[in-house]
Amino acid sequence: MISVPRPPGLSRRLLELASRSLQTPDLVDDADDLFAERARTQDLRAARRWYRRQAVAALGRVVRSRLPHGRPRPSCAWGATSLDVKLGVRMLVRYPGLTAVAVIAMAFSIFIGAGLFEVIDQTFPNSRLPLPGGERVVGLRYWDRAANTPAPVLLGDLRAWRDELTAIGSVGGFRTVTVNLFADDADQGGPITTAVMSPVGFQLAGETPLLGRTLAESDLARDAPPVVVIGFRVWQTRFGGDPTVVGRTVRLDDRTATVVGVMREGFRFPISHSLWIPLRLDEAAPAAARHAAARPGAGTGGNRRALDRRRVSPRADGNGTIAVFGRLKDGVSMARAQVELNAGLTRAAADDPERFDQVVGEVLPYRQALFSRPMTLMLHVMIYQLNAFAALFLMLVSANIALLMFARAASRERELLVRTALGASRRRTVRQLFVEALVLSAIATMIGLAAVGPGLRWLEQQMVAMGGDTPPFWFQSRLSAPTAVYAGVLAVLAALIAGVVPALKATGRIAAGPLGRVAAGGGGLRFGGIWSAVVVAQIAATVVFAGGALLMVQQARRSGTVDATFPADQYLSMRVDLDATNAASSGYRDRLRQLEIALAAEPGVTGVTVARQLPLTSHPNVRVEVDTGDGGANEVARAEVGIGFFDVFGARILEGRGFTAADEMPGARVVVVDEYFVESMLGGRSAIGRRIRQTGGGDEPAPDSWHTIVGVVRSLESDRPSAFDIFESPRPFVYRPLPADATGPLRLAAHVPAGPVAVPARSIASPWESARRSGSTRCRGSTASPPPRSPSGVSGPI
Amino acid sequence: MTPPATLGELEALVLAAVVRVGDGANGAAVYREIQQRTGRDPSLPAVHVTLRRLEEKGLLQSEGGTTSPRGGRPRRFYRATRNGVHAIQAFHDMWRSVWRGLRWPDAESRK
Repeated sequence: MISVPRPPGLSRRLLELASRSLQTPDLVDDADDLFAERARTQDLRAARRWYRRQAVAALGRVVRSRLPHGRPRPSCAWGATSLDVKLGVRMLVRYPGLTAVAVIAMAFSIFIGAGLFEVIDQTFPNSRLPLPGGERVVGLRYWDRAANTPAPVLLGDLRAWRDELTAIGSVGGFRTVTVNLFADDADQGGPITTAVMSPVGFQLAGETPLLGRTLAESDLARDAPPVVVIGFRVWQTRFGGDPTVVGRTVRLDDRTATVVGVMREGFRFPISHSLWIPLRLDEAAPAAARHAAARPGAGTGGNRRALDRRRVSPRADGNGTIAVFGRLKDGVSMARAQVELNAGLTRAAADDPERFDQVVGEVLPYRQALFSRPMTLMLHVMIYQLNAFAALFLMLVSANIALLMFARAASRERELLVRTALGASRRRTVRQLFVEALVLSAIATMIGLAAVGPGLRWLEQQMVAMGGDTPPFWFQSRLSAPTAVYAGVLAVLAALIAGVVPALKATGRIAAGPLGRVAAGGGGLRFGGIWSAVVVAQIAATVVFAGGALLMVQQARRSGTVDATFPADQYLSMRVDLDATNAASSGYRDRLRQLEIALAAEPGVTGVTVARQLPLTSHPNVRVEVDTGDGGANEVARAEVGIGFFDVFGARILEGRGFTAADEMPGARVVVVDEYFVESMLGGRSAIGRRIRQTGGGDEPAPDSWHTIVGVVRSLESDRPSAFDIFESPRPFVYRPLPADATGPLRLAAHVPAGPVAVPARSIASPWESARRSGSTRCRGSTASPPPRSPSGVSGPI
Repeated sequence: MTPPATLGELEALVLAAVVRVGDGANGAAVYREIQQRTGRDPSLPAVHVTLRRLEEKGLLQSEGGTTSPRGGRPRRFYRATRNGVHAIQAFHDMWRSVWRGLRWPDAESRK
């Protein structure tokens, strides 16, 4: 494992910012090199100290470059003196309790505000791309005006754009596929998000590999051996950081490829990819690419017509759709590139009017091109509402601190009086109290900001741990300059509320009354209307926040931690997807049955069933009514399940029967409900023979036709009362038979009483492998809770 | 012929270091050279800013080069222009003439 010492993160960030401001682009790289050299030849701490000194020096340079020449530097831009700051610090020390409470509260609220701002800023499609010249990196796409979605872009389009466009250079494309990588024969494999990408993408990203090389144009030749470039994390986790990995042969699904390079840590271009294989323009997509999923960046819009007409013109050629990127050439505006793209599209429309009838071409900032929806004003407003929430939260905290500050000012009344007697104006005193609050909020801001980076990293780790994708490459778990500025604004806002308001209140009375009367002790400072309002507001907010938090906890618990009435750790679940290029495969269910049989024959497996939704996962919520005539409708969870579902999960039949083969036939309108349905919809009366129908929700037009209840089963979700279940009872279920001709994606569940580990990975993988090779299905791991390393990435306990 | 540009101390150090390093004179190499020759520890940002300023004055010329073994972006490498060489020579001549025949007051008093 190669361990490279890292320079201090904050200093590096400061150097980056300074480097941009000073227009010295090599500064950070040189500093990194010299740091590494010093860490090697001296000791690491000395190297870090040196690095920090460089960052401070760079900031000094920036400040000096901004000041007008020959003008003395002001002690503080807004006129406060260093004495005010010194007094502020002294006050913090003198009142440690108040300081601790105020700093912690303010730091937390600034952490929330700045963290939200950072996430929003990085998610926003218009913000800057962290690539060299990122503002000139663009995405090219088609937009279907009729469907209001992106339209497919094919390999022929990419070829045409590469030839036609003079305003955009480094034009390339990619599609996202999921590939099972086997590092060697003993490796059990695992799915990895892979970019089938033009080699020019690496140049566009301006990144060099850590080991070996990136993809090259020579890899696109027909007779070129298959190659793969691996990401840093894959190298570390799957190859143990082996420095001799370049040249090794690995298996990608059922093909072999040679590792030619390892990318540096953090490189995830074009979105959040960890493997890269070449995108050939002169042939159909490679086998893995046939599994291109409809995911962001895969470029799969809804317009399948174009795929079917791929032979109409040379442009409409290629298997699967791609996303296209490029870089505006120097001096070229996006508008000019758009004009050029339009001209090309006009020519293309002449060749293939049907395909391009409703389609317009778009040149957009790269991230915006990957968004499937245009950024509307409403979306902007929604995003900034979050910021407003954070700012309100800070104001509430600041108001509380203001209360404490006012209490402190009350205890300092004599000191303020003496100051006034010595000639300090009210303005001077208010300024001093403001600076005291500013010192406090500045310390809180530093703590809050220092926590943003680790907080974002934690969030990223949680996302990955919960089975989510790695965030896109533009999402960086560190503090950006705009966020630091925003936090500064928040700090001033907090200081205004916590400092100026109590200062005005405290000094108002002193300034108004005769000094002698006040000094004689005319009752001291009193809580007035302002503080009463603050107290009322904070009590109201506390109630609202507490209520909101309880509801969120309730929601989170319901969505994520439902208890099962069956031994969930004895079940394996698998999702079987349809091939993206063969969506209408009629043999899907047949093949699924073969898989069921193959899996059921495995030792240790006592039962296998199929369903569209498995217990403890998300289900569509639908509104249903019962034919009792009272006209009421309730929301219930709906599941489509196979015949043996209840047996396999051990759901006891309480009344009536389960599903039979006849129920799978078209026209059989029967349902099975669970005990909570009977309780909530029928008040515990017998359900058999009753009819129900869907009146809304789900994916069906309402109202649906009537279905007869033929059975009642024990619920598969817990009825155990919990401290959180104060508002809601367990959700009722309606089960419908899965039609015989149902298509994917469906899920298989296998009962393995000895636990999933009792089933060898290969024995689970093999039925899938054989089916996958035949090209009609693909398998994905359970979305519920995959094990740390699920066998071949196709299965996991529920 | 235009008179050679006047140089500040750091500018002269940086320019001389660029000439000394020759090929491969990037920011880090210039920094190392100054440090080794003078025993001082100039700040790296100061070196970079000076390199940029000298380039703006037309005393240095830069071009994109290769990446370092640690990777990263390709670095810029500098070389002195004709004006740059003249400027450093003029700087050298100026100081040589300043030192020539100079007698230090304390040396005089010791006599």
